[in-house]
Amino acid sequence: MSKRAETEITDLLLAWNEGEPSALQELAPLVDAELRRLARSYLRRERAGHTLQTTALINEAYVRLIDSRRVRWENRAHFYGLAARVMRQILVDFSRRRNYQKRGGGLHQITLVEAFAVEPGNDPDLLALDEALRELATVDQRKAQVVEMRFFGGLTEKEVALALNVSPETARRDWRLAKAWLLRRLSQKSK
Amino acid sequence: MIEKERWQKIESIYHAALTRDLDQRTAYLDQACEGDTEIRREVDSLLEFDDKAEEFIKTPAIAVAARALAAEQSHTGGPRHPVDVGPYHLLRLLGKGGTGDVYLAIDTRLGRKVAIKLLASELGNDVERILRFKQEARATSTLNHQNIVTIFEVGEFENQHYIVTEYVEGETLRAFLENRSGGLTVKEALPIVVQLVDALDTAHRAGIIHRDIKPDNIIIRNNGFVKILDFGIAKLTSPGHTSQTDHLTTRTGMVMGTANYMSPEQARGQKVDHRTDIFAVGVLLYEMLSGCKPFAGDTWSDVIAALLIKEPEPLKLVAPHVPPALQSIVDRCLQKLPENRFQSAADLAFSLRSISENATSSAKTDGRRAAFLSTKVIWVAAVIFVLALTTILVLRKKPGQTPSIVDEKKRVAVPTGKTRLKWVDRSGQELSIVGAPAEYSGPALSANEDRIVVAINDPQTKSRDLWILSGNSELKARLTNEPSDDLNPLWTPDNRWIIYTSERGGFRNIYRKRADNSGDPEPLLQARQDMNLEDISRDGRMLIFNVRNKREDAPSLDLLSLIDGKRTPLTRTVSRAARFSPDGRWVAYETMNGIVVRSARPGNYGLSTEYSITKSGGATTPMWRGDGRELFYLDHHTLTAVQISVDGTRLTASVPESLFTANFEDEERRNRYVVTRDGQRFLVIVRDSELAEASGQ
Repeated sequence: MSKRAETEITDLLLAWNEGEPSALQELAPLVDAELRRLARSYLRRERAGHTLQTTALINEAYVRLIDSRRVRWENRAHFYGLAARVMRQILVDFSRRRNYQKRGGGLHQITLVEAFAVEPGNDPDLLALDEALRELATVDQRKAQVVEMRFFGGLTEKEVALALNVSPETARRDWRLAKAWLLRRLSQKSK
Repeated sequence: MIEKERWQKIESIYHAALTRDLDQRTAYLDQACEGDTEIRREVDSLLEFDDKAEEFIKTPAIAVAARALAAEQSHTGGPRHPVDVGPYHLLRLLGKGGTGDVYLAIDTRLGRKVAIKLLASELGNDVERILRFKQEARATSTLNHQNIVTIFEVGEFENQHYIVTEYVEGETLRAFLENRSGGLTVKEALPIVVQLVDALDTAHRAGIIHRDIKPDNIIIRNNGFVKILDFGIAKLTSPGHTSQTDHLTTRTGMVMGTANYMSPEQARGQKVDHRTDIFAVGVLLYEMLSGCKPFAGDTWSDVIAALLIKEPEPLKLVAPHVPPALQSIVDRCLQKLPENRFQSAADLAFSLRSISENATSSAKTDGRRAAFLSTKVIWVAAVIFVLALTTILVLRKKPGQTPSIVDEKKRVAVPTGKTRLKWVDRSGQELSIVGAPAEYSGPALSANEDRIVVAINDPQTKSRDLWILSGNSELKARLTNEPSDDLNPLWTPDNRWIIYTSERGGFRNIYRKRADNSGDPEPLLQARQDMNLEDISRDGRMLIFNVRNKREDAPSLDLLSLIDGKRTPLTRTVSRAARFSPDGRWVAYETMNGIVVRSARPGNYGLSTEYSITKSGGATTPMWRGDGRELFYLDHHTLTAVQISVDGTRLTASVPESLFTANFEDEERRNRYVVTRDGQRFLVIVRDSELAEASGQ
């Protein structure tokens, strides 16, 4: 992605924050492009048969999408929360669309039922997680935000702490309890 | 206690409990919960999940979504395999063979489907296996027969040895037999086995033995056409090759082949010749007719024992419907001593044909299972009947061709290997023929539809050049004349230029040339990658072409603005054969899942909606009617139409209507027809054939 595009994303996020709803529609393809780039690297990785620094790749994607250096320090906390929320919305929409297509109700039927070259393994279902997260928010708003920022926004513990104005220790404890809570909720549902 | 306070208490007990060792936790919880069983239960259950949540949502959401996408796009068989091998993009596992796995793949240079067999990588250092693997390729590639799978390439990529062959769609004889327990009728079995034996005859004459004839190696296409796969352990018998290949089988006493279809000499690990295949044909025929294998057993050694010692249950007991003449053919194939069998595939074929003829002429009396006979089998039976009446010489003169139609005078239509350009109406009725038989590809109509530009293969240079033909006369003019391929021509809407794909610069790039043949080719888009021109928008402002974005990519679609030269990707997944809707708003194209339509707005890739026109893959070459209200495509050989309606940004397609089926050329090509703006006439490329006298025999 070019430098221009990175700038564009940050600008769009800021525009969306300032009440420009169409900014989200323009953001989605950019996130999508990043997602596909990442997906391709997963496929390539399978082909080459060697492991690579997944974390580095993912971080790279988030850095491209959420370039906080352009945001003034006092606004940064706010920006983090915003970026995470947008990412959540786009990624959940993305999953919803794909699930819909897979069920055959959509426009693009998947006719081949086969094992996958890239195993999603134990990855959580983003739609179910989104729903559980909304339930968590009714119990404990802050913990839901922590998950939103870390999982959907790809933020670090430190960034989360900054955005929520809590200590890193609190952010860490919130994350741990929220994960147990969510996993329990999802396990109950799948039974 | 109000909810919020309860939750805070749970949280603090939870975190405090986590700081304690497991053996002290219970005591702590007993004390901290102060007998509140509800809080205790809540904390206990959260603690239980704390352990399991270690890895939970550890990977950020974008990676989760990307992995799901990657999994979806890969569509592949085994849990782990390469996604690309050189220019081949692997799509899915087709089957596992003795020497390696076979995948359906896209040759991204040609955009055609192929089958690629990969030598198992753990055997990559096994010199013997590699030798055998390459031997298969050499053996098969020397054969040219319509019933033997065509081999395209033998290669090696990053230490991965592979063989690329034509992809044959159909079911294996194994599957075919499984769907018909109890065996086939004579009329069902004969056409299959005659094609098989014909192919073996050709192979044997070339000194090649298959050695592994079995139902899994025989594919029956939808039209009843049989293809033999996997000359996997073929053995060259020509002098000079013998010693080299013999050691493969006998040095270690290793026996290859499937026990059920082995000949006795093969099972003993003795020297085998072409008569081993004749034995296998006998086994196959026995199984096809009776539904059971002549030599069976619970274990491999039981099968071998039966094969070496026992005589099979007589066919007249297990398959009484089989005429005695055919029974004795099977018996003769199954003789334990090679010298007692048919001595050549040609002799066997001859005997089978005489049965075939009788079976067909007495069709009315053999009512058994007639209801199960599908039309395709009848079609093949008709061909075999014709074959029986025709001297084999007619076929021999034209190897690789199949006679297909017969008229009253017992003449057969023999394909010439060339194609014809002809105008047909919506019912497929021929209106006129354009030009002489040649190897045509990718025709396009001028704006006023009076002229045609088309690529014609020059047999001398073996490359395609562009020609302009008059739509209604014999006039034609050569537009390009170069040793490199020129193809995919299109007229600009003002009729002044021909835009086309040319390989003149080493890569397939996009050029234009004046339609009046003045001036030299001018590059429109040059890059060190292969592109294939697809379409130009009606306003002449936009081109669409397919491209391999990176080495590992399958073809996807890019747009090129002719106004400012800006190039924009439109799709990122496997897609080709794209056509702009007449208003330029939409693009219809082919994907692995069939024909789809999406918005042509550049930059709107990714999340813009793809509207599926067909339910499954196999459909190719979408074309719009001039008003954009109807979309045509080829469903295999059937020209199909759907009505399109657009409501705002939504697009819907009606139920498909089959217009006509024609003998369209090569299924893997993109542009095999064009349609006039009114949607009433089609210019199609069909296989050419000529009538040959059947001289009777």
